[in-house]
Amino acid sequence: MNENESSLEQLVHHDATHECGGFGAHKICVRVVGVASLPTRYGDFRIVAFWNNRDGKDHVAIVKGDIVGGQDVPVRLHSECLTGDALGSLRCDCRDQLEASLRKIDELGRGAVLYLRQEGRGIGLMNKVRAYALQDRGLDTVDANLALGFRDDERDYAVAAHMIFSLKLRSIQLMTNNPNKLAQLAEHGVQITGRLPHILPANEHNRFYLATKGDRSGHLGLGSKPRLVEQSDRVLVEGMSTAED
Amino acid sequence: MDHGVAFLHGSDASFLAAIDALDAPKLEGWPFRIEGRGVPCQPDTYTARDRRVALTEGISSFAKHLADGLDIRTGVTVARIDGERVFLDDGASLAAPHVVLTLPVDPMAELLPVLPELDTARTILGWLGTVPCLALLAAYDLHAAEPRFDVLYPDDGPLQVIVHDSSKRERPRHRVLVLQAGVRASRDWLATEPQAWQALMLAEAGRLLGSWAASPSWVAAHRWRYARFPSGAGLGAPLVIRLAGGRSVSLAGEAFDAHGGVQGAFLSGERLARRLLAPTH
Repeated sequence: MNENESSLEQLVHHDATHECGGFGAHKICVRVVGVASLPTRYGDFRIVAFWNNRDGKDHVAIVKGDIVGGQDVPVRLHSECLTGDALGSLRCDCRDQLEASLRKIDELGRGAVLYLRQEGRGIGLMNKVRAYALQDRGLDTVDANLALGFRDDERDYAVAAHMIFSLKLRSIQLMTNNPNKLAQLAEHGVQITGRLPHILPANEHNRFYLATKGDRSGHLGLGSKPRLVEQSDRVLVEGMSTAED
Repeated sequence: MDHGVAFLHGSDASFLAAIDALDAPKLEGWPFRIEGRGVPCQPDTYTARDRRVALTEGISSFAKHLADGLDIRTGVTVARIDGERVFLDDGASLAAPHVVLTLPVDPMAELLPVLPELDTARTILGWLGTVPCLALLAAYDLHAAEPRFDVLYPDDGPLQVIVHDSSKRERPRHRVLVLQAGVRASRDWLATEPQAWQALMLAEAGRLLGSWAASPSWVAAHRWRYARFPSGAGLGAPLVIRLAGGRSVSLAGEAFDAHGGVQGAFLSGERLARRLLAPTH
């Protein structure tokens, strides 16, 4: 067991009796309950399993390198997408984003992907399929969610904030195009020292979806309209520079 | 006595606070004795997180408590809604720029005004449905055998649940059981004469509990065509559809909450009220 493995293992013992007031409106509290190696087609990682006090959803972190106590740790928050991640759906860019983030973190030698069990932007798989059905009738992804009584994006990153603190990350660089993730994590006291843009080329099926994320949900660099390149953004993901130029 | 919902259960703080605010006798934790391997209509009814409360004056006392202070008109039927007015079957109409429908989804879809703005809502309602329930309240002499359960979920057969309703009361005048048919039997028997399905349900009670249960002193039958929304298939939130001229049609109820049930209906209404009363509205 190397030093990194040892420090991650120690989190399990440290969290065995952890209880706190919780994060966010739902006062969610998590514990690190298990750590194991996870060789993947994108590189060798460690997987960290979290218990939470609100529901039976088991969130995980896929970790590379020695991150415990680290600063400026590259972190990607990935929300579960069964259709994209597991089935290879082309309606969204979820699988591409997940794969690109794992490859990049492997390349960087340290970082974490927090895999959050909030399917369909937090509306659940069943309602995501209903939203797809409305999209098949001509609504865009935002209007479909609104028609079903949801907000554009129901995701709550309080659990991610707690996971970041449980991993003892002193500061992070967030791989995201989503300003809402940045804002929510900052509200929960996560130190964010930089944003790492995470833009991937569209395909013929998800082009409209990605444009809607940019135009209506404010995702940076995804809109159909031209945007100024953010000079302070460091390009990390392949294809990024051409996408924002 | 409760033909339908036998007790309240939930874990949401505002729902539980509403129950606590009800000034009526309560049986905290009822049912205490649960038997059978059948599945409740809400499979998560008995999770440790949920608090259970029976109301000895009947579950309707909770609805009456929530409705206290509202202008409620009974004995009239709404014939149609056009987005501006509500038309009653006696020819009268009411100005209603904001309409909230909290019916089961099938009659809700029938009443929804035919307006282009409501086409998507109509599509969504078409994905939802309501299941029927045939219920039989059977009263027995107090000398009849006393069941050793408060609720029984039979392992098999056409009954979904037998509720020992009189076990909620300190000094019942009758032994009362409420038999509720499962969804399949309720559908199969819905169009048949009540005497026919009453006989079948009592025969089943006799098979499960002993011959005494097949011969009550008196019975009262109730046929709910739209009894409840299938658990777990609900939308996540109530719908508010804005119409031209600042008008709106809103849909709420059990089907507009992820978990459904009485708690889901309550939360759906509460969320809708917050949205309608928000300053931006």
